[in-house]
Amino acid sequence: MTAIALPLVQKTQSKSQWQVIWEQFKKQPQAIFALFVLLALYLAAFFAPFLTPYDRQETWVLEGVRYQAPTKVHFWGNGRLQAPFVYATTRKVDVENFETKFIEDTTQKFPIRFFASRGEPYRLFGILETRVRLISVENPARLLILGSDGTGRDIFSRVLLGAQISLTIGFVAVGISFLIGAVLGGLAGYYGGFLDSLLMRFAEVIQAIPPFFLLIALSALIPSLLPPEQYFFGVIIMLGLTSWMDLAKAIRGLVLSIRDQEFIVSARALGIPEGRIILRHILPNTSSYLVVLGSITIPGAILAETGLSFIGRGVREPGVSWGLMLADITQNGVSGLNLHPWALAPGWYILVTIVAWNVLGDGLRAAFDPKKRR
Amino acid sequence: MLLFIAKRLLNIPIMFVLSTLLAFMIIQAGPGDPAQLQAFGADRYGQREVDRFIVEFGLDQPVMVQYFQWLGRAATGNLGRSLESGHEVSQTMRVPVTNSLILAGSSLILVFIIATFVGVYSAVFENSPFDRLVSAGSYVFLGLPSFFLAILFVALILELGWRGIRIFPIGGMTSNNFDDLSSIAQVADIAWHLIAPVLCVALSQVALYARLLRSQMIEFLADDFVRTAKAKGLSSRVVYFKHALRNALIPFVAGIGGLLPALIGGAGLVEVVFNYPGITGVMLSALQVKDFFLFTGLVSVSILILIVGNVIADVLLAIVDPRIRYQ
Repeated sequence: MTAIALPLVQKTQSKSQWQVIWEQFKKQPQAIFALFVLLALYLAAFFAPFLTPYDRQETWVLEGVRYQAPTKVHFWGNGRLQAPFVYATTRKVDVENFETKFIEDTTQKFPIRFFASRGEPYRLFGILETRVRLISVENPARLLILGSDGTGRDIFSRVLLGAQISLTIGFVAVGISFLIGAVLGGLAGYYGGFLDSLLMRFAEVIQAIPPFFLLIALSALIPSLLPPEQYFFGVIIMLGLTSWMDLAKAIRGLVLSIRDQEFIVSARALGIPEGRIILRHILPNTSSYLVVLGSITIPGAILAETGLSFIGRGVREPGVSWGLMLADITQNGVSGLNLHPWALAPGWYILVTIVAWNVLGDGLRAAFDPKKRR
Repeated sequence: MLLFIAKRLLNIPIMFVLSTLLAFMIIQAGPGDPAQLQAFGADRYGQREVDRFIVEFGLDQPVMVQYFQWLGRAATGNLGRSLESGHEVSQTMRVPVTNSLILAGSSLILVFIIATFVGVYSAVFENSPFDRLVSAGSYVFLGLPSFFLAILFVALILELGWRGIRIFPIGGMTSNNFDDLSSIAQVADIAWHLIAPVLCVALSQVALYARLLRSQMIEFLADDFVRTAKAKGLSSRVVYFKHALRNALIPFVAGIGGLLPALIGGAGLVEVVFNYPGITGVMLSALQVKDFFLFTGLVSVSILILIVGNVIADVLLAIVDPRIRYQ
């Protein structure tokens, strides 16, 4: 028998699910932009000790610094363009409204130093011990890019160092709640019956406690004398423990719909152990949905941390987080707030972060949704 | 329908008991822990007072025993005694709980009104400049933590005050001369103080619900029954608000159950910024001084509010959506 001439088929590489999603995602410029904004924020947080001129608790409060306005960086001096420099400032109290003002002393000029050593040593990437900072100036000049807070500390440095906490908390807490949600939701959906109703009722019972008050109650369980790093860890666990319920319900619904499909039935017929079926066959099928759910849950966790820290039940001094920085404003009295609006900076950082996460989440949702494909 | 309502009502005590039990166990491990209470309370309240308190309420007994004792007392309206002030907890709680309910309730109404109008109009005029403005604005308001919005409000009010324009008071719930005012003026005074916090609480939630309503409306506006209604010659207002909106409201009403905890929680942070005498402030100070029964009382009342609110939302949903049949 001679070979049958097959019709010439154009060889097309079929795309994997993730390739299709990535293509759909790329078609949304706002989501790409949000992704870059988030990348920039997370990179800035990661390199914070290097990017910041000061340490998180470095203060000039003893020199009377309180809500000093952002330092002006000059490029023009002696009638020509120069390397950037700042002037030292002298303190002056306004007799009209008792606000402290800082006047530039133009006789004392300090160039901005790049890659100079300053302050306490820190570990870059967690290994390299160094004192090199991207920008700094020599005393007595102060390089306050976003001004100082009510306790005389540099807001810019604190915003970046606080980002390390405020930004990671979302990731890690959502990771914990995913773990709990996937296990409990997976079990409930796969086994159904009594276990299902038990776990789902349990989730409902937790949800009947207003989440914010539940967090406040749980925060009392963290020993208040813990060092800031461990205390922060406690806050993360707390956030994770209180946010898994919706995830578990969603995963349960997904597992329920996948459970009776043919490939699972055949896996069962092959005698594959049940744990392996859940882990290797069912949960991966929920992954695209989980990515979307994650991008929606993370901003919620970030907001929860800032809110808790704001009322003093989250991150504590000497730690620093965006919520804690906003708490500093109210603790120092809001009466002159309009005179030092730069102190609101951490709030704007929260806004940008949450908006970016939300836009990214919407973009992912559109990319994953077959109905919305273009 | 009646059976459905009865069933849901029956659910209230069960959920209440289970949730308060969970909350009780958490609180027991923290501020209610007798060892902690003794160590902390001895300085503040005196050793004898703390010992008497622990014996009086059986705080040295196992958690389960304590809980059912507490529940038994709670059933008769006795929520224990405040360790700090010595007053009955149910007395101490009355004012802050009422205040918080006023704040959350007013915000709920405001969310409903604004979200309905914004949602309907941005759906009807889809992709118009108004719609685009709303959708950009909703991203911003979703990203603003309620307490930061409140701080911004305070800054704005201060700045305007600096320029001689007094719009809203900044803190508290009443003016200094409140007691001298007539009862009508007192209500007006409270309303005056409420405007700023209510706006702050409502605005962040409006964004979410306006978006939800918009997407629902867009779906229904493309439906056949809307076209039929238009073809019958009904005015567009009737078509939008009676035909399309009635359908689009269904998931919205279902969402109100979820709105309540968000409002109670979100309101809490706004309360702190505006110094509003609500639940959160009392709760935080109770936690600070380990006022065990006051804290437990506040948590359980908020649980009750939440559960009842959810049931009301369920029943409303059944009324709004005739397709739902309940056996």
